[in-house]
Amino acid sequence: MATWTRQELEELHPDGTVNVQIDDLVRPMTHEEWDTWIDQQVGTEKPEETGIPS
Amino acid sequence: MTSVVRFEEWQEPTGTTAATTDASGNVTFSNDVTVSGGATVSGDLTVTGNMTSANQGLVFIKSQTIGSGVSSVTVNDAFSSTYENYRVIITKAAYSGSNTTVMFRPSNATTGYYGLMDVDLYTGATSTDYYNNGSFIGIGITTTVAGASVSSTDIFQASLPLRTLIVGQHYGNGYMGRHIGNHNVNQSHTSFTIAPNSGTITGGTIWVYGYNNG
Repeated sequence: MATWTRQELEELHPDGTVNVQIDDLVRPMTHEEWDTWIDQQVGTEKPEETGIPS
Repeated sequence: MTSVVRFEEWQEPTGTTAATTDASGNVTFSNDVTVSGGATVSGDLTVTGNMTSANQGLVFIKSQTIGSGVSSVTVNDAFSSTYENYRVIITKAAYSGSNTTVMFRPSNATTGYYGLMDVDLYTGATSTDYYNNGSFIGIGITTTVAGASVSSTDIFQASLPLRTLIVGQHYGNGYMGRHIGNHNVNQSHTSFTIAPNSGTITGGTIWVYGYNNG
């Protein structure tokens, strides 16, 4: 099964576009948080496309 | 409309007048009211504050609206010593990708989880079991379509210094299944975090209810 590359994830979720939420507070991820978040997803399996046709 | 309210026994709070009756016979209680006996209401009963009773089941605790493009949502003050067991429901959410696991973490703890999430495609063509002994418990499947997924999770012993046990059902993008798991740490929690395994969430609501201890 295909896995995520860093380049794919960076294109999907560029730095500055991802937020974190604690209760009602929504704030952008810092660059360090974003970098760690991207790293955590590199190498994980891409989901299968099967599902309800939309 | 004429309403008749008959209390076998009710306790009037101290302070200002608690009950007034208008020309139609409608009764308004302006303060908190405690009914220790029975109560019969033959008309409509409107309660603008919270209403609890000794044999009430689920008690609403809070809801949290999910923001835009968030990687995770932490809900504080969800669990307390008031209740031991809880239900958490996620509705109306849209995710940046489909068919990704929705992760659940009490106190945002990242170790000590053991669980199973199974999913079946609506056609019956796909059946998958996701076993996990890692950093979260899966409680749902994502979809990019807002309002097309749901997760309902019962969380046991969340406020006790014991293992937190989780049982629930979910639906998303044509997949449906169960999720069952254990946070294998003797720890009491007041908060939890929801996050997709990859990507972000936009919109939706997280609902938190407590099971009345009785």
